Amino acid sequence: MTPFRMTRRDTMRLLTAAAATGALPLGSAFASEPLELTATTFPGAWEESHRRFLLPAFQKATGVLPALSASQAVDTVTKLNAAQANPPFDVVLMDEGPYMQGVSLGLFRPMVTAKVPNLENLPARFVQANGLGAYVSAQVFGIVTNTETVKKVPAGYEDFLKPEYKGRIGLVGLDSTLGTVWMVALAKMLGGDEDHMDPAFDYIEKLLPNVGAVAANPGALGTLFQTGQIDIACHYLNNVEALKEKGVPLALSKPTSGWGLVRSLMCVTKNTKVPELASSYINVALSVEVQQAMAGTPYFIAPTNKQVAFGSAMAAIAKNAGEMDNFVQTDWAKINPRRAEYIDRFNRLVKK
Amino acid sequence: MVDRISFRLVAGLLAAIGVIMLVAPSVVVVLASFTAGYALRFPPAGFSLRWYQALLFNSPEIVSAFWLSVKLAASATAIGTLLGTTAALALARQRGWARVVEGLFMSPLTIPSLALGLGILMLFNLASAGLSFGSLLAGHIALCAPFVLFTTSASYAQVDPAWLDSSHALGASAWFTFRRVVLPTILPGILSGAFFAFMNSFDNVALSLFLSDGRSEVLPIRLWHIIEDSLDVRAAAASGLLIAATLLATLLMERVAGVSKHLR
Amino acid sequence: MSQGRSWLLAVPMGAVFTVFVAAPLLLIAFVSLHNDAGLTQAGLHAYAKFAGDAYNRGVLTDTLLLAAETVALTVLLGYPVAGLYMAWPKCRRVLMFLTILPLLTSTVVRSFAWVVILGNQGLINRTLISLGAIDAPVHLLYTPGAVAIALAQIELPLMVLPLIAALSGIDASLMDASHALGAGPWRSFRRITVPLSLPGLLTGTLLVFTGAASALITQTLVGGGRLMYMPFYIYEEAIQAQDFPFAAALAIILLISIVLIVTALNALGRRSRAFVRG
Repeated sequence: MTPFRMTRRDTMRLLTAAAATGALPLGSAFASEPLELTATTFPGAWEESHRRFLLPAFQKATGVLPALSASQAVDTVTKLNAAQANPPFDVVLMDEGPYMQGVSLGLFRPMVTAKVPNLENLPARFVQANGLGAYVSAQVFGIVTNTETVKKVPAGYEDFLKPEYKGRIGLVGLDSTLGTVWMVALAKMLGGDEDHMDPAFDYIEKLLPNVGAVAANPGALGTLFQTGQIDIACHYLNNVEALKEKGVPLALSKPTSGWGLVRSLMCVTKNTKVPELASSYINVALSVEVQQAMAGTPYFIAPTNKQVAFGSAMAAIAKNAGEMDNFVQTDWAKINPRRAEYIDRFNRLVKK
Repeated sequence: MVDRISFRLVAGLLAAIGVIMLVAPSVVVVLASFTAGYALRFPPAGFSLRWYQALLFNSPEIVSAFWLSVKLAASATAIGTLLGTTAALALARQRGWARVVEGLFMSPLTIPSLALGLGILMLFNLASAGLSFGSLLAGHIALCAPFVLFTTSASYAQVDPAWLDSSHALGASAWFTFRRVVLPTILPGILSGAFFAFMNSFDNVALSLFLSDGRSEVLPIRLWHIIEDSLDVRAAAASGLLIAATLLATLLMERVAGVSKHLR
Repeated sequence: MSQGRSWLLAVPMGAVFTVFVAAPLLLIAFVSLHNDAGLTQAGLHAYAKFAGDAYNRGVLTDTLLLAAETVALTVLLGYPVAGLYMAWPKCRRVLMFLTILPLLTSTVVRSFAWVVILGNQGLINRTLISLGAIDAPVHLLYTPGAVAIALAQIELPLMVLPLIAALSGIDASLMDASHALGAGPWRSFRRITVPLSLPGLLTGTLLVFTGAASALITQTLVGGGRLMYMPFYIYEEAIQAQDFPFAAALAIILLISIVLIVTALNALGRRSRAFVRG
């Protein structure tokens, strides 16, 4: 085999190149970084709508394009708690339950209110008194079915148990808010409540033969609809509409037990290096233009800003925020202490 | 007679299935990426380049994940190459204990990288050091160096000791001997090892799951989220590009350094 | 640099190995022997928690079973492919290329491909429906079988390559002698090829078994939310539940299980090798 012919110059060049390739990224790794913002959002329609509307609006307002990380609220709390001194995120999207947990763990800091003038446009009850969070939306959930493959739409959750739906129901894990609030809604429907969840777990056990797949988060639940692995599930309005836009023939219907409601907030993390930028992010999320865009097709994320009217698909469900207060809601103060236990119990139940 | 035919039939059929299984998945993904619609089905509905366009021009988060993976893999490979080469040279002609050390050094090739990732995470936690690009890099260097060691040792074994002795006897310095006699012979080995190391680092998920700091994602993890959470056809387009890049790189490396020899 | 001091060149790698491979592994073992994340109380609580719970034991057995199934599939397909390589010298370059390429392609991409192939709207179901063989899609995806098949494809090169190396070492005249003495091809395969290629088979088994047992991505993407295997369990306990002692114990249990099974196979192999070489 003929060896390569390398002169001294070649060797030197090769070694220098190798050293340079190694040194350059190393150097940048330890150098200080320019002003950046990392925000969280929820997987699925939330992430899509944020990338489509919120990020560009923020960039226009401040010139900074944030890094967006999709993370369920429960996981975000865990990550913040694991790295309190140096949080991986600057501003986070939370559901009520994990928010309360985060507050008790001291993970959030008050917003820089000077940077969030839009707070004035929120009803008082949507702004946390201590400035630790502001409600950015409400989401409605109900029964979602694939209109092409499901001829007889279930009228209520109890109908999911019918044998004709064998292998077609989708579930989502309890570390998502959707999974938990559905369990609470089921418990309430079956005579229990947040402190008595056994009826809901019994229901799931009876439902197992009809379960087609279990998703890790609501976004993944949408994927299962998309690939035809499931045809029926309890799901959010905004995910449904987003999937319809992609050509998946879904429809949302009101269960006999009533619509369910989930509210989400944004918070600034405790030891963030950019509290003002993070507060501006919340301000842009509360702005009329962003909330209007997100309330429209296909995301239909209900606005909290008083100046934004309820659009078409939302109006079919409720005329205004007041009506929505009557929907099935969850008392997170009772759920939070036992949530880890419920998550574990659910995982063991559905494992094949 | 029947024996012969049945053997040929079964063996042939299984071989055909095996070869098809080796290539079919990549082919299916690439074809599905050219769909004009939103759904990932096979055969694809219509033919369009829209998803490649969406990927390249409308997906800053995927592009930045790509560059992070490249940066990580390149740094880890560069440093790993230096470590692996020097170790190979040091251990090649030593006595028995060197074989044990070599075996130890090459253990990351068989140990599941998720165990390494968990351990290094706990190490950083113990040292109260936060996660960063540095922690990720550390894990990937530990993964890359053994590849280079493996292939370089094999290559170095091919160097005739007589060359080294005669070079030394003729008065050449160790550096000169290395540069003019050893390096040309082992360079293909080094390059092969570096190539495998780069590809493995680029593809590795377990280490990155445990050791990245949450502010940035490497490409495989980003793709994983896209596939699970939104089943965007862009994931198929990204896969198509990755497959094409792997194909070209492998062809090139086979030409330049004959990498396949090191796997046999 | 004299011969005596050349071992100094190994120090950089040695340092990296000690700090980033040896120390972490020892640390995992150390942490697993504590009862709390703060490492204040030593004890076997984590291991007891594992052993006492049928769910946990089930996750381990499912994982090891999956790995065993994958090995079986790769042996079944690996020998014919390696045989093809030996029998058709003209196709060797192409075959080698086709074998290496999947090895270097991203695991996420390859697992994703199986989602596209096995899904309800995927290749197999659509083909069967269009052929009229079935009316409604068969649930192929998110089953243990699907994971085994996907893993078999992903690990197949790691079985084929050692088998090729092993088969190359078998003297062709042995096969001729066997045929001349009247043995059919099945018999020759069983009595000559397999025993003589045993070292390659064992290497392949080691690589495939380890790879399949720790293939986090494929198990999760193709397995879905209802199947739980050790790798994701470890990740979940470490990152989501932040229960480091338990996660560490799971990791140690997985590693030890793999080592035990592989050592047992190697011992078997060495015994039959002695038998073959006489």
